[in-house]
Amino acid sequence: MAITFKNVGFTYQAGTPFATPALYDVNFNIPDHSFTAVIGHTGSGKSTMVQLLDGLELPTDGEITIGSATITAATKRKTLNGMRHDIGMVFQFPEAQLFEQTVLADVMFGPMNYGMSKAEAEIAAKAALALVQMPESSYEASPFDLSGGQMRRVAIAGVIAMEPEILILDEPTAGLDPAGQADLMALFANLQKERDLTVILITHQMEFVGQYADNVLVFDAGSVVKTGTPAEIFADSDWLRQKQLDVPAATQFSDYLEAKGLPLHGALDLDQLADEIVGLIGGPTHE
Amino acid sequence: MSNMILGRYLPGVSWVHRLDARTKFILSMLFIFVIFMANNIYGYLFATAFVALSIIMTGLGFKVFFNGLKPLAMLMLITTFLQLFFMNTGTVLVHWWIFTITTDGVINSVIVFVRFMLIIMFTTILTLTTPPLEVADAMESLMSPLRKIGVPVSELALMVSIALRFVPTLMDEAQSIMNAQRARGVAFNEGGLIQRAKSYVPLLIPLFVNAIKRAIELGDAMEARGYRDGEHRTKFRVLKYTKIDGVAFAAFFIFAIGLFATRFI
Amino acid sequence: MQPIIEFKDVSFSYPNAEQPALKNLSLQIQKGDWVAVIGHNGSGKSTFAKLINYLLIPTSGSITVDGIPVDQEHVYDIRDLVGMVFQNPDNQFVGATVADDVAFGLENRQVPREKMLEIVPDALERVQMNAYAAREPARLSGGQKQRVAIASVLAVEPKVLILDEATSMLDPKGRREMIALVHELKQELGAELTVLSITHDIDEAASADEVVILNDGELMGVDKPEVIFSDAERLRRLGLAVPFAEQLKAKLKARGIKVPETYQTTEGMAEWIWQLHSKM
Repeated sequence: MAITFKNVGFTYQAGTPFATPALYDVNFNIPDHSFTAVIGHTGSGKSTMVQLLDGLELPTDGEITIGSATITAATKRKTLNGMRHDIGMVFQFPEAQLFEQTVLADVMFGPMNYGMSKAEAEIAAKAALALVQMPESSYEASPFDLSGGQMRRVAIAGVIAMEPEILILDEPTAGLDPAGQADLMALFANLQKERDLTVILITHQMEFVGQYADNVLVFDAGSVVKTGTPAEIFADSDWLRQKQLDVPAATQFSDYLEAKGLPLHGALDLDQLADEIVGLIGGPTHE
Repeated sequence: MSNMILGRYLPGVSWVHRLDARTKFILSMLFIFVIFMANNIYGYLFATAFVALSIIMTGLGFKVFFNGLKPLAMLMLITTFLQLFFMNTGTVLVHWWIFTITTDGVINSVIVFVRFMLIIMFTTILTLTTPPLEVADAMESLMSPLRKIGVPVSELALMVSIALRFVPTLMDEAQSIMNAQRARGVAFNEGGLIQRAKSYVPLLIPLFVNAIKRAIELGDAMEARGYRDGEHRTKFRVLKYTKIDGVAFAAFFIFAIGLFATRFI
Repeated sequence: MQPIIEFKDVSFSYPNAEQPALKNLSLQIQKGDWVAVIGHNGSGKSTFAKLINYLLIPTSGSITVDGIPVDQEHVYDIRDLVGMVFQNPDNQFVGATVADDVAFGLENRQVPREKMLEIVPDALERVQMNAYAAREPARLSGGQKQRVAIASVLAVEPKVLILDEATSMLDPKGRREMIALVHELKQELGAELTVLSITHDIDEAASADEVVILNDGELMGVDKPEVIFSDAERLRRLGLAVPFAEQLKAKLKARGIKVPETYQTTEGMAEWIWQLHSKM
């Protein structure tokens, strides 16, 4: 499913003395089956955009198209409930959504709400749990007895089991240790390929953007200020720094050497960087 | 939820805002007793004028005070309505089966309504012009004599202040859990009463579990910072009576005498 | 010299747990050091931190801080010596406002109010939060709340500052600012302050004086960062992040490039590549 934002604006508590504008004139296009990263410092409007995307809030201005559906300020809230079916949302610290008595029941909760029968939901749930590498022995355990990392996986399985076409991830790796973060990102990348999903990743971690995204949206002060491939976005590290954003460590390193006069071209990850360096010094040096 | 004016603080710089929380607290309590001195139309007019003047002095406008009445409207109507039937004296206006409405009944219910309204309006002044924390401080200070009989006043006050401090945090959390469950297909506020009640289970359980987790972590943080018990502590935040508090007490005293005097008109 | 923190054969088990969270840990931390404690989630890092100020009581073994035994008798002395900043900014903010929160620890120590009126603004000044003294926590960012938490610790002048994954819930900007702030304070207080930072942030750990690795409740090593981080293989095996320069070295090696055997900082690595290129 493709997603388009056209002149979208949003104000919290519009029409009250507490009105706070959060988005202005947001325009972008996310192609079907793409992996799009959304970056921007805290408070730049990323999370608000996601809430609009999932129909949790209605835009104050403009138009959002998701597949064949259109959302505007005039859309009835009730129709949104049905639309949400195609969109899987992994919120920040998703383990806060766990509430059922067993892991399996919690993962089945979403699919059943969207009309799957118990038997269908169980199949979907087990497939999702296997995908996030939860052992079968945990299915009947209480989700509250799991470790933090496992709770995170179960919560994510609860979203995947709804079999969405779009998967939105709001800082999904926050609070995990480095190994846990890398595992989870690999899982999402694999999931996107296997189920042919459209993935939208909100993150502060530029390594993951460089490694996985094919499309980047940069948010600043409630608007999208730049779109492009990771290579295009990370080409101007000074501009990013002005927006309080980083570049991947590999890009930073490459930029540093380039500034010293070496002919390098902003590698996005370690493999690219290593390849370029090998090219630079003319092949292997092992005796 | 944000429309609940009751117990909501609206910052300002008026004289009333600057009064010591204890003054406002004591006067609110006294008002509840004093209002019963009014026994005729003049008394109620005088009391209404006093409440109106007090409201004007807050600089917040009447509108917020009337809004504050809305959540209690039902309670007030029911009370007033019941009063209609309690009085059997006076001229009978309506008589049907076991119900009788008399002139005294009508007058009485009007009085109850007015009294009710005045009390709520006057006590709302306290909550609208005083940060909740100062209300808690005032209660601690006023209840301190109870320490002698073993009431853990300081602990209670600290509990109230921490509870108040966590209200916005928990509201935010409730909102984000609600969003997560809506994304999983929960429709809050739809369907019949039972279905509605059921739809809140996926909100309340995580909220509760997380609140306990927070409480444990907060307990650790408090201990790490050397907390032992409520008694052996000094206080950073203090309440101070100033001249305007004297003026407020004097004004209230004059009002009470005036109100008493209306009984003899 | 007497170590500021000493663990002697300390074990700890949570009730109903099958495995002990810490096993026979013996360790000394020297006064004035900045020590980073690393390990994957569940390795016992937080348990280790909470034992130091008696939030947890060892199942066996003994701990001393500045020569004072950590036990029931000395618990408040210990808590005067050890300040702690926790992971979740929201769950350690006790006061109704910024100033109240900083005052909380002082109130507990029965500091007279006149003194508090001096100490509180002073502590807030040091974390650049003075302008926010009357703010309520709901109106602060996570990074600002953590700075207030540091001010609250500074106000009682401890000898040890423990950061228990204190930056893990912050955005990159908040994280950078907080680490810079602690470095500044450390510079100012010198040997008077020992910093014990439990962290996943490899760059922060790389700038520490000593690094402690915990794995499944066991001490895997204590050493200088250049020693700890040069063994990229072991770091990977323990589920830990590997510094950028070491990652690059591994990639180059796999491509048949002969790389320096010793530990390299990012700058050192850049220098090495530059020289290699200019020799051609």
